[in-house]
Amino acid sequence: MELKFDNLTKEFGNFTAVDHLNLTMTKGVYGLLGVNGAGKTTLMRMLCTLLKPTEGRITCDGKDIFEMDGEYRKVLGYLPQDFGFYPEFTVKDYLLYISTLKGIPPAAARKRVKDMILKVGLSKAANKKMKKLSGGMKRRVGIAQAMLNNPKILVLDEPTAGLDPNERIRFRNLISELSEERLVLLSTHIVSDIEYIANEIWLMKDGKLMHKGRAEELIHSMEENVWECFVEKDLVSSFVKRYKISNMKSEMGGVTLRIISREKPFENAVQAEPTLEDVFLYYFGEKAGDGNGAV
Amino acid sequence: MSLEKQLRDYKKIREISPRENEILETVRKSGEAFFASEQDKVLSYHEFLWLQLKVVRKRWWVLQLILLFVLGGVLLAAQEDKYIQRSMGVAATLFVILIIPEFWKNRSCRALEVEAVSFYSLRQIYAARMMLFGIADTFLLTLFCGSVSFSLGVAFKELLVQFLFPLCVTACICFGTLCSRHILQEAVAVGLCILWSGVWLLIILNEHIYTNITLPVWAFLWGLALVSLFAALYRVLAGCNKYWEVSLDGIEI
Amino acid sequence: MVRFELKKVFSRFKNKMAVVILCVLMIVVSLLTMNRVYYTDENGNHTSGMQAAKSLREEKNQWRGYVTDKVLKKVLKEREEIYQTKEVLSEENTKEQDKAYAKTQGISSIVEMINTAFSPWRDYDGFAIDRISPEEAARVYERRISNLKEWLDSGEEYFPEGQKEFLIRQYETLETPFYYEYYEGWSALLQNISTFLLMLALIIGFLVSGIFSDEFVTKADSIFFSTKAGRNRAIVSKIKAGFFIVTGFYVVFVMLYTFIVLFALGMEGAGCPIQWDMWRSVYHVTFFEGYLFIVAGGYVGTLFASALAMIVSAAVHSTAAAVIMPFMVLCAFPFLSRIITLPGMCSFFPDQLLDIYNSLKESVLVEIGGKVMDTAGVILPVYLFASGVLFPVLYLIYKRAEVK
Repeated sequence: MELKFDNLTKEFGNFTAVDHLNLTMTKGVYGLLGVNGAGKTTLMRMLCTLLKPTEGRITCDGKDIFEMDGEYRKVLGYLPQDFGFYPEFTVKDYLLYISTLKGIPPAAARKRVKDMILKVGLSKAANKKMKKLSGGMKRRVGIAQAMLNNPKILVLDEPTAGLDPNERIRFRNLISELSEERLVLLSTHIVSDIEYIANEIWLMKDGKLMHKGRAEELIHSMEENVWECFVEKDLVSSFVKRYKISNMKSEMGGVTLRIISREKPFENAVQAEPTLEDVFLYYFGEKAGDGNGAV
Repeated sequence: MSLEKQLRDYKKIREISPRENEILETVRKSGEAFFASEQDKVLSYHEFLWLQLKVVRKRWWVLQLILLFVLGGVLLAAQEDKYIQRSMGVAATLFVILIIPEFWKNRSCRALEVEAVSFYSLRQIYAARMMLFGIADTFLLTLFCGSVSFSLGVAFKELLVQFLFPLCVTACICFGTLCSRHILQEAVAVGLCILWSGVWLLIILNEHIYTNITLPVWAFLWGLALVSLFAALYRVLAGCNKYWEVSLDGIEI
Repeated sequence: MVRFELKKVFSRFKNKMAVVILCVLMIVVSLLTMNRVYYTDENGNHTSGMQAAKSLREEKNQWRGYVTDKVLKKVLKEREEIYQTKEVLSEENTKEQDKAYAKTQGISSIVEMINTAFSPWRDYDGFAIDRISPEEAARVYERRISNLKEWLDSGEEYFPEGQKEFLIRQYETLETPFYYEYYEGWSALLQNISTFLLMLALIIGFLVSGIFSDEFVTKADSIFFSTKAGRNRAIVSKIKAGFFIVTGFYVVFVMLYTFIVLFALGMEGAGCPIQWDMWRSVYHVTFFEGYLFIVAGGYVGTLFASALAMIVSAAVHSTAAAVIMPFMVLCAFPFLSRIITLPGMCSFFPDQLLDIYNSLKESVLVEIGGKVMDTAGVILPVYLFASGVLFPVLYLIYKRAEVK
């Protein structure tokens, strides 16, 4: 199974959402990281045939996915960012309904639904109406429906939004388990979701691919260092204007700052081990005082 | 010794004690084999259609039936032409408005994206719903028109002009809204249908317009409405995968 | 806050389009109304619209004044002279008849009044005037009263004694002679305004239907209800916004429509009694007063239907369900009354508020506490009160809304 993006571009009027992407995906987990408006959702929608590229193509084992039509969607599982459902259906009914849409015969559908409900930990809530579920439980139903047809290509847009830490760990393990036999593309803002399980991480900005690689490779690609220092409260605003700050922790008598900078920013600063979050900030972060900089 | 006697004796000597674990294992494996083979099959279109029928909420057909009953009652009891005309026009609009919730269900529940990416995607879902509603509503309308024609003596021309024509136009508006490039809310579709009802009332209450339109003109207008309806249905099916092309990012109007 | 609520309503594309459609409808209805006025020139050719109104005005205002018995005799004589020529008498010569009609346009309304007075009660004989003498024609006002008494005594329709007395009293106390001048502008306006008011009510209902449900539809409900003013002042602002939209749009569009029609067809005749158009009306009102009554009824009906729409929107959190409410109340329920055999009941339905024109024409009487009155006179204050009650109910419903 090989998915290829060949000069893939998507324009909405004058706005270029995805800009000449060239990538190849095989089995494994691919993490897509980027700020809002980077083009992640547009890319995923094109991969799921919801949008047609303005230029370029996406091929699956050499065949254009838009020409494959139903055959391609048969092997596709998708969890959108804005996951909607029918509120009056129970969890079981909803999954059975989605099975119908995925072309799964009734007998197989019943077994798959039962298995997926167990897998996502919703056995007790199987006969509850969708509208009565908590946000995290709804998300789990979303993950379950994406995997009902045992897809070879799994596209997940912000799948862990609303999940508690236990659920996120569970989800990570589930994806790891699934990725042995399939291709998983996962878009998220929660860096820890993909840090340990992604075979390759793509950093996307303004529709372009800025960098790609394993987590360690991305960390080593940083040309700046990460420093931790303890400063007085009234000095914080000047640091925030001068450097990219990846973390701020208020403590007794001051604030501990985690700063990304080539040189040592402060006399008592200590060099720290960079993490993927620091990489995210390195590529996408802004200083306060920049046009779009966060305070 | 005959073979049969030998077999009987062999049976008596040999005791077969079933091993439960092995039996359960066999059952499990045969189940897995069955499901594995089922998994490779694809749900046929008529099975999909049947399952769509089970999912469609029947209350809307019941309400349509009640509406037709009420209209029948009005035709029976009302004496003034003005009220008959007005009632038929209003009933025609309401009849079509009652199908709007089912066609807008996946929009109002924001389930479009998940459905669009399935094997039986939005096109097949809409086609299935159109077919189911088309069959049911055609049956109801045929029954209604036949009944009022025979039992109440209502002329076919009256039914065509006062009921079927506004019904057709309302359906055009409904499906025209559904096939719009933008994701329009249910309320917009209902509002436009109601507006048409108001315009229709204006036409039928204005004798200068209404009396000047002859039967051939009505027949032509009805034919035009029917063609527009089929065009709208075609556009719904052709354009249902293009909702995300709009850079409004799916914001509903 | 009210300004922001209004901004929320009119920033939506669908609502902007609704306003555009309303403007288009107003123009279309205005044009259709203008075409209600006809004029036949001396060559027997027909025209309609502004030019026809101008010509007709000139003809009719030659007879401006009180229609006394002297005037009635004169009208009869004038008509006789015109219609007695050989060409006109020939039934096949429609052109000559049209030419003759053209000459009598100035007195056409007076001729119609005489014909109505001398026709059977619920019938119209267009040639009754040919069979009466000038002295009989002069007694047209007494004839109106005597016709009523004859019909009441005939027993064709049942009326309790109290209602009979009321009808006779209303007829006897009507001020006569009638004042006459060109009134076609007002006549056309009154005839068509009910349809326009209905469409205006439906569109206004559409505009206000999202005020209370949009928070839920756009998932802004949690933020809204968790703020300081979310369960008190903010709700009042929404109600005010709804009220302003209903009142503002209603007043503006009714005035625009009225102005366009009267500008085109002429404003004269406001002081003429409505009996010129509605011979059997029990009301002692002029065209202008009748117009005000119709507009007031329409406003109360629109306010009531819109308040119901807002309540549904607040209770059910669905804009679509709210949009359909005015339609059900003003268009769909009325025809239910045709099969529910309680004819008295249907006169109290809210749709009657948008059909005051027909109430003026053919009153349905009701006796309350020994006092006889027309149902229109009852439903107007009742529904105004009901609308007033609906707003506090709306407030309470929305105040108690839960975000699930």
